[in-house]
Amino acid sequence: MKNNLKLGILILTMLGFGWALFSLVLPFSTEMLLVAGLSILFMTLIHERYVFLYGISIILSYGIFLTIFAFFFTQRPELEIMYVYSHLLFTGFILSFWLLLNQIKQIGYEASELRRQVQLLQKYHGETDILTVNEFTEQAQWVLKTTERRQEEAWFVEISINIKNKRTQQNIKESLERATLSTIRQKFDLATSTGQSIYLLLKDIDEEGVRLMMERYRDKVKQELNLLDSPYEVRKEQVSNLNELSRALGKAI
Amino acid sequence: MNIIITATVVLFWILLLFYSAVTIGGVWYRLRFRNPPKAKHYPSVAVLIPAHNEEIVIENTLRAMARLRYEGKLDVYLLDDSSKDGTAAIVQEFAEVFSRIHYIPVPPGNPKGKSRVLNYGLSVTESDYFVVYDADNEPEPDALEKLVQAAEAVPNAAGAVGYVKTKNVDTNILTRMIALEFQVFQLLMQCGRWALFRLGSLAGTNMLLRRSVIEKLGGYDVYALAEDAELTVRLTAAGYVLPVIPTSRTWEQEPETLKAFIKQRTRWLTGNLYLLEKSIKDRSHWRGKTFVLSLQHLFTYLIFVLMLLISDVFFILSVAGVDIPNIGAPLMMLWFMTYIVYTAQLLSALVIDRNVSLTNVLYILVMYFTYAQLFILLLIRSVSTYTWSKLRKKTIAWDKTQRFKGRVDS
Repeated sequence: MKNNLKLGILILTMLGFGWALFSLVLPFSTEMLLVAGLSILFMTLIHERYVFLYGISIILSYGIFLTIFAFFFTQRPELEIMYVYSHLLFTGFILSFWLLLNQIKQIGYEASELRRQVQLLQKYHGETDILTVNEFTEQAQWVLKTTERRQEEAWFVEISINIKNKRTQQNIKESLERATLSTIRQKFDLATSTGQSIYLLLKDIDEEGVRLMMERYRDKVKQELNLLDSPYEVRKEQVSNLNELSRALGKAI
Repeated sequence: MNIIITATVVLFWILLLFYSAVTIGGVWYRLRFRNPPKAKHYPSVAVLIPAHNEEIVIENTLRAMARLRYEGKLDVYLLDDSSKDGTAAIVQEFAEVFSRIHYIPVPPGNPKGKSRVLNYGLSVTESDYFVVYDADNEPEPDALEKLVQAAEAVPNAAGAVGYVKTKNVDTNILTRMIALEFQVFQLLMQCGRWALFRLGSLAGTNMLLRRSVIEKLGGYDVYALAEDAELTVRLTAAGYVLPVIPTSRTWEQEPETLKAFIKQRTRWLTGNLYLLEKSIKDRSHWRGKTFVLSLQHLFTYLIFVLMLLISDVFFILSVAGVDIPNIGAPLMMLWFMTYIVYTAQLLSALVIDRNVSLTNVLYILVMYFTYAQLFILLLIRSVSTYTWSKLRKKTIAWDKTQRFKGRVDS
């Protein structure tokens, strides 16, 4: 159901219950109209976490009051039906107002959550929190600039998955991504993935360092996967600026 | 007649007030709940998944198993109970790739059912703990880790139990009502019982146990159709506790047709009748905390449904204009308030689980008159099945819950 329609239905329902409470001659209708009016004010003002508590408490309290009243002062079953109607109208009014408040707050939370998720999605993706390609290239610009200035080495590594079994491919990729994230230096090196490949940008490292890192990576993968043959191939090349990285990435993608 | 009516009203209200107290306890526990602390050492865990013709769901299950995060040694054993479909092939594909996933064919035997399969699984595996997941379950990546942390942190814990959420909630009216019922009567009240009585009960899935404990108790009872409830009673009688961890979640499929639902719940109810009979014979089930557990079984699966039936009869009689004896109490108001209290419990669960919506509230408002009434039919069906099997001196066959084809996750 669309949010606008839901809000419309809730407002109409609330007004309907209010009108019925006002116009029908039921036991305690004047008192309950007053309580309903005060409840609107109270439920709007109190903290969100107490709104339901208040609503349900007042519904139950009115029910208990009517039951006790019927127990001591009413001998006629037909009057009990009137109490039931009165309670139903009051409950309907309180519940629809609670739902209305909830719906409005829900829309607000959904908007904030969507904004947060969009930001997150722009940075990370998948089950493994690996960087998105956009975020990878953004951060790579900064990494390569500092590397260039300090005259350090940076290496681009491409890990291509060579498993063709579609059923397990997705999980293998996730396993490799997790292994990647636990092998590279956190907050120092960069990793992203697209299609069936994972890309790394390792900074302040030489060729021997890359070899050692890939050995560690291989050991981690072996711990998790049973495969005798390596499920991936590695290609590496030194990059010193963004153009070279774009070329390397371009070759890969 | 007056005595029957008065007794029914009093008992019904005692039950409703008890359930309300447990619901409030559950709400209180959920609001105060903090995840258990990280363990100093993560013991080895075996995940046991009994399966019989599960090709429709097993792929998603294994994907979720491959995603489980656990710092200690973890092995997943798919216990294949003579599947005739493609279950074995799918599992073997995963087992060839993932070192933690293993395919175990279970030799045929009697009586058929989950308990025997789990006993076999326990006999061929080695680990400090084991956790059971049904073949349609998709635990969240941290579900197992949280259970282990709780079991290690709580003194005298036999293990820990987590939450079971409904994966196919939006499929139809039935699945939505099952999900809502689960929220209150399985989850919130589970928390309430833990908060008020330090009583947890095994849910059949997403439940962790120490291997040493189950070995001490002699394994699963192979004749129990509700093996989780039966084992809970024995664990409690032996003095163990089972902490409830609401943040450890698994997602499972619920029956999508009335026929499948009735078959599943008849098995559960029949299993609980077996347990009731066993409890009546065994005095250890009526002492200390086990007394609360046995009493709760008796009330939930027998007396509450009978009360519901009696209240329905009186309601129909009063609507039809039949004279009901005057017992000096406002029967109509009392009946109406049972509906209000029942509905308030369901609404509380919605608020706690943060899934308040107009649709859910509308479903809740009609659940007392629709879904709850189904339990009368279920009780009649299970009592007759159980009695018939007793008369024929035959073991009731395990009735596997039907699975439904859903989306294969990527």
